[in-house]
Amino acid sequence: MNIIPYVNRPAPLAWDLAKAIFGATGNGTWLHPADLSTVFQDAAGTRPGAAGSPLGLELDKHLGGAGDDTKDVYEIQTFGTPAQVAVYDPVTGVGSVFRTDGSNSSGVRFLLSSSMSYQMDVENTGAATLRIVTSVSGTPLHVIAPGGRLKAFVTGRSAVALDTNGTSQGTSFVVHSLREVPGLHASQATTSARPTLVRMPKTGRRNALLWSEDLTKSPWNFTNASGGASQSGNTLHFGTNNLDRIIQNVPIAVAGNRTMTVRMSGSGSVRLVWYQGNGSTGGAQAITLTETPTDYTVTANITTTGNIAGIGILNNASATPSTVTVHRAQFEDGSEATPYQRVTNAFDVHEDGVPDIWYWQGDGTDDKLTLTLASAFTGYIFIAGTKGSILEPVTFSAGAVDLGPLTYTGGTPGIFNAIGGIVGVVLLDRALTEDEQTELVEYYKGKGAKGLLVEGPELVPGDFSEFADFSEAAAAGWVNGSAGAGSVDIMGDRLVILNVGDGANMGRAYHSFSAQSGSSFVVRATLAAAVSTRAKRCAINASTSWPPSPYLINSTGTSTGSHKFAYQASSTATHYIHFFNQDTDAVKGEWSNVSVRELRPQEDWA
Amino acid sequence: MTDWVHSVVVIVPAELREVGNKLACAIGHDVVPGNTFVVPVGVDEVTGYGCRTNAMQKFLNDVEAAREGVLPEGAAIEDFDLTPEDVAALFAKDEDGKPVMIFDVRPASDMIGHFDDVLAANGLQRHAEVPE
Repeated sequence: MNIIPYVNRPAPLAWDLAKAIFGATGNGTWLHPADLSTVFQDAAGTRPGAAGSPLGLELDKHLGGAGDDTKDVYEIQTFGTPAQVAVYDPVTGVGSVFRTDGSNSSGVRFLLSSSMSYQMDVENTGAATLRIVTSVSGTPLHVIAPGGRLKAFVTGRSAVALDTNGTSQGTSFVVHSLREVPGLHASQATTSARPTLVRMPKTGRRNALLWSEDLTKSPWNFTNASGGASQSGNTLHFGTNNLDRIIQNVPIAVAGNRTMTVRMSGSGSVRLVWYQGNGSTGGAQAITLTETPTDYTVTANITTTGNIAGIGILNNASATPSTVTVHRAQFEDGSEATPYQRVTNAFDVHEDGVPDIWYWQGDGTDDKLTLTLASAFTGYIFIAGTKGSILEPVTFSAGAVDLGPLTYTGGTPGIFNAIGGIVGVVLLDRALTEDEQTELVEYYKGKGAKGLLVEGPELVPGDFSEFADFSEAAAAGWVNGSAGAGSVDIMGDRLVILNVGDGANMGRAYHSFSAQSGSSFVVRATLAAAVSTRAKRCAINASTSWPPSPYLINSTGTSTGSHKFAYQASSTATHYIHFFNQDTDAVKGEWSNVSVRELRPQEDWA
Repeated sequence: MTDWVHSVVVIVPAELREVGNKLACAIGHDVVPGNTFVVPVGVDEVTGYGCRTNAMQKFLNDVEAAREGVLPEGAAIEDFDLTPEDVAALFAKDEDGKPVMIFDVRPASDMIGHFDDVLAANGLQRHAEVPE
């Protein structure tokens, strides 16, 4: 029998997600920010996506690109009696528009389907402004200056038109294409609500600096102590003071060895130092520069924490003039220099020879992308994240489906904290087989995502039917943390939070659990009694102080119901889940089925 | 493109939310009807609405100019039913001399948690109202 060593086997064909998951008939969407042809900074798709920039439009990838060119579906529109009527050749896309005044103008109107997205590629070949408008003389969507060319997406409109503004002027144009872009695309029209497109090395970020190849950017800080020093780009001219310098501070969370490596060339000599704030320095290395770019490395033990220790390139101790060009710099944990990572801003890090991971990162405040469904949808959503992935059944009504800020429409509140940066989204109108699910998860692990999130063991004894009274609950770790004469009790399967009703004597029960910074938990609790809003509050934090804050549950109205949400710890500390009653009336807050479980990717539980 | 180097949190009083949204449209950061100020803040009731965004230096310059009554070129506020007095109200101070609009800037690399840090610093919290 011939045995073929694994390394010599032919490489398997690349798994094709669109074919394997959607096939010929699957409906839904596939959002994949690693494909830069599908991402744009603005919702109209006029600016290509780039690492570190906002993400305003992400095209559905599952149907594979542009469809038919529909630039030949048009009509000439004329209002009043303009001096010239618009003309258009639907084969070449060449035409012209004219405007005499506000009442007399003529343009070209293209007929679209409002349920379809289109990409329009238009060039203004004339001498006046060309406008893309909702209809001739209507609201401008885009303005193209003479000689300019614009590619823009149009969605949800039954028509767009080309016209011009001004008085007694016209312009000519070429419509290079007006193509359907089929699919269910995600977009965000509001600038402040756009997530950020991120690129990171698959092996993670090590270089703690920002702008590692551009010393003109903050937080690099150039100091001209001699009065004769200057900076021109990355070239520094030091004068007759040994404190002429450039520094960048970085945050040091944990004391320990750090290594900095700087590639420099020039004439004269400089010192490569730790710059630890307040003018003190340490670990200096005196360097005589040559014209050949050379890497210089210093390692030292940083004993002080905070945003105070970092790279410093100082003039030589004898304070004689020198010129240094800094080609690149790296600052990292440990006592050995590792391969260089280029850092621009915090969202764009690249290392040669290491695959890039691309994902979008929301701020957890208002960032989200929105899908607009033409009809109701039932199926499954898969979201691959840098911290973990989810695969869940969904039912959406026609209309907007949000992806963010902290969950998707109808999803568990806060779950995006557990997912992290979004590496990919698949929305499909059927269930996946076990094999398909495995392939999908593994595909995205290869793109930098983690496996499916799985709940761990119960951390809080929340089945109150097991306790005869609160003393038994206390034996299981529950604490009566009431203020004043407020109190707590167990009644049947319920934790009862009692309130004297004077606004000062308020009941509270809390239970602790351990959390690491950044770890995520699924919290469940059922409101078992219909009472006022202030009587049924729940909070999680790392403090036993009264009153607990902020609230995780602060339900409106008086109905009962189950709550489920994801919580992310912001510090490594003992955390507490609090149930408390801040009503000014003597009413009860009653809770049952309380549960706190940690969420981790499946592979991390092994 | 990596010039989005600032993280900015803006919180406006609830009664100025519409003005804030219209101004965001007028300066080209949103489209009508405006959804910039979408995060409700307050304890028992909503007292304000906030947003957080990454921004270029030009945006900070534009805000500083607007504080002095000068709006960016092309910002036709009248097209959005705004008056200079409306805009001035956003930059006004309350009776204690405190700006009515909270405006906070930090490096974009620290955007996670920025909004909640600003809330905490101003004695606010997200209005955690869970409809039932």
